[in-house]
Amino acid sequence: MNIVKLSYKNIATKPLQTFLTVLILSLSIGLLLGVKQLNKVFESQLQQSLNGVDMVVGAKGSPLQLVLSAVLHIDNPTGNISFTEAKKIAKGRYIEEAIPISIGDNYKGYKLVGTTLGFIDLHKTSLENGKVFEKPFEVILGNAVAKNLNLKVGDTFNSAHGMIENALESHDENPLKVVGILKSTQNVIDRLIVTNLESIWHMHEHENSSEVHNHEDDEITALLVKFSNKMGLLRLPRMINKDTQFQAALPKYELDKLFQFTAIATKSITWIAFAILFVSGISMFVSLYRMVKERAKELALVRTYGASRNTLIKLVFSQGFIIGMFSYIIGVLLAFFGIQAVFTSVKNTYKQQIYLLEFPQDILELLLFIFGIIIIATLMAIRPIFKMDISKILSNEN
Amino acid sequence: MLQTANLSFSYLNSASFHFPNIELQNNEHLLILGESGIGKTTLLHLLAGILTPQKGEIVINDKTITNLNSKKLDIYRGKNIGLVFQNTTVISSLSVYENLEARLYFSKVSSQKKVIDDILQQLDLTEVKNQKPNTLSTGQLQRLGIALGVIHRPKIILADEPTSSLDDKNCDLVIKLLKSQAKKSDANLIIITHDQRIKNSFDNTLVL
Repeated sequence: MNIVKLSYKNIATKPLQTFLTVLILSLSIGLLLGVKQLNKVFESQLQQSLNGVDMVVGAKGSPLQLVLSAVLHIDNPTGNISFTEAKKIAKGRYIEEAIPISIGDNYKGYKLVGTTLGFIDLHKTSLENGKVFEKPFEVILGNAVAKNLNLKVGDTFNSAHGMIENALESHDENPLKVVGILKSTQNVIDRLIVTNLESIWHMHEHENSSEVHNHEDDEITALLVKFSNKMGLLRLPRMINKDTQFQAALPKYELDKLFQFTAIATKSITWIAFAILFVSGISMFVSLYRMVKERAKELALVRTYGASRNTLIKLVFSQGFIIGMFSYIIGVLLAFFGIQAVFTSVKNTYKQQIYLLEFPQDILELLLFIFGIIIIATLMAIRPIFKMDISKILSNEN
Repeated sequence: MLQTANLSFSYLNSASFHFPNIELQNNEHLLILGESGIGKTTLLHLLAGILTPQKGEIVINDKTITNLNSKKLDIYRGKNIGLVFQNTTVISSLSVYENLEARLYFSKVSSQKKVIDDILQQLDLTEVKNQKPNTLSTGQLQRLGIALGVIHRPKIILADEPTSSLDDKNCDLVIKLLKSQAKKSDANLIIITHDQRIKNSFDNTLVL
């Protein structure tokens, strides 16, 4: 026999009350942990995917859509722009590097990006095996693409027109040949198929075969720009938006706006979770307080056995601790499996593998918080123990 | 050995109780008789260290328990005093066996299975040792109360109205059990009651 065993036995005599307390406490823990983790993971994932791109130049439209499509590759492009005109911008002052990209095709849902080799350097990765593309229709696969589609160097495939899997508009005349596979980055490039711009132009040239190809007409989707100094940030976006037919979008600014918008939802859920946590803290207090009041005679008896007042306090705390820790474990498991379900859904939809971020740190922080709730609930519930008149309780009952 | 001297106690806004001196040698028993409201239970709680007297002292085996601080008194009470109540009080969430385990645990007496099994056997409770107290008969519950009062081999066994609600047959049985357990524990047995039926069972009687 010990205090923990006695506490457990006491709790077990009130299954419904204990179940309700554990249920709401674990739900609030799961919600808090889940929302915090998802918020952190998505924010980090998106920020990380920017890869130092300071500005995106593309067709007029929604600046957020331009960023989402050209940088994060999770939306449709706003349109195409003239490559000739884009090159003029790329040669301008304040620009350290400008990488053209052309998107609009896919293979089994994985997006095909026509670009230069600078795109690979931009994403801070290199070849795991094979070589870089040298000719049109040679492609390098992102690590996740190669793994998920079981493709290797030397394999060929036909891409399809559009951003989603579509067998009806397949570019059958121009099979793409895998010449290299990139190292994993846990970043957006893992789920992209990279080729040169010419591949994209030749594939779509075929669609308009009656026309004579004119390189003046070549188009790209966007230009990914890195500024050489801060003056670029101050001058270029305004200049492009005012003086050209293109639009310039600042990824950091657009994503901050997006986070501000999503923060309203996550903050609301977080406050709801805190409200539930508060209610569950009260529920725990009521549960412990009722135990102290209803079992006053038994507690007085235990005092006659030689237990000190501190021992009774330990007994109450122990009951709170068991309820709190049990709820905590269930809450963490709920959060973990909930997050994994969201990650799986994201992977299926966006082909992007996401991993937990600082999860042990989050669960440890929440553990301290729950521990605080247990202590407060216990401190409030033990008041009758200090006022306990053992003699009176035992006399009245006998 | 138990000695009290000039014990008095008063409840808030109530009359004071002044108790006669008591002196018991080892293994000696005492029956304290008195009408309701005379302070019998108060005296029992003073002897148990549950109440602290305003005046006077209690010495048990040369130790003045009225001088002990709260913490030491808790420990002393747990190890040396055994209380038996008229209506048996137990921990309802524990089985018979676990109640006896808890008694030893809180008294800081090492819990030995053999000690518990022996007392269960002596008091004919072995068959119900895994049952919860609310499933026991009145007689079984009363025997459990005695077991809880004596299992830790206290120096003093204090019984508060242990026979008041019993018929003559069970009244005799309970007194015999208490005496035999006191003998086994080498303890003083003090019974307070207003039940005149047990007067003849004791040589040493104090009327309040």
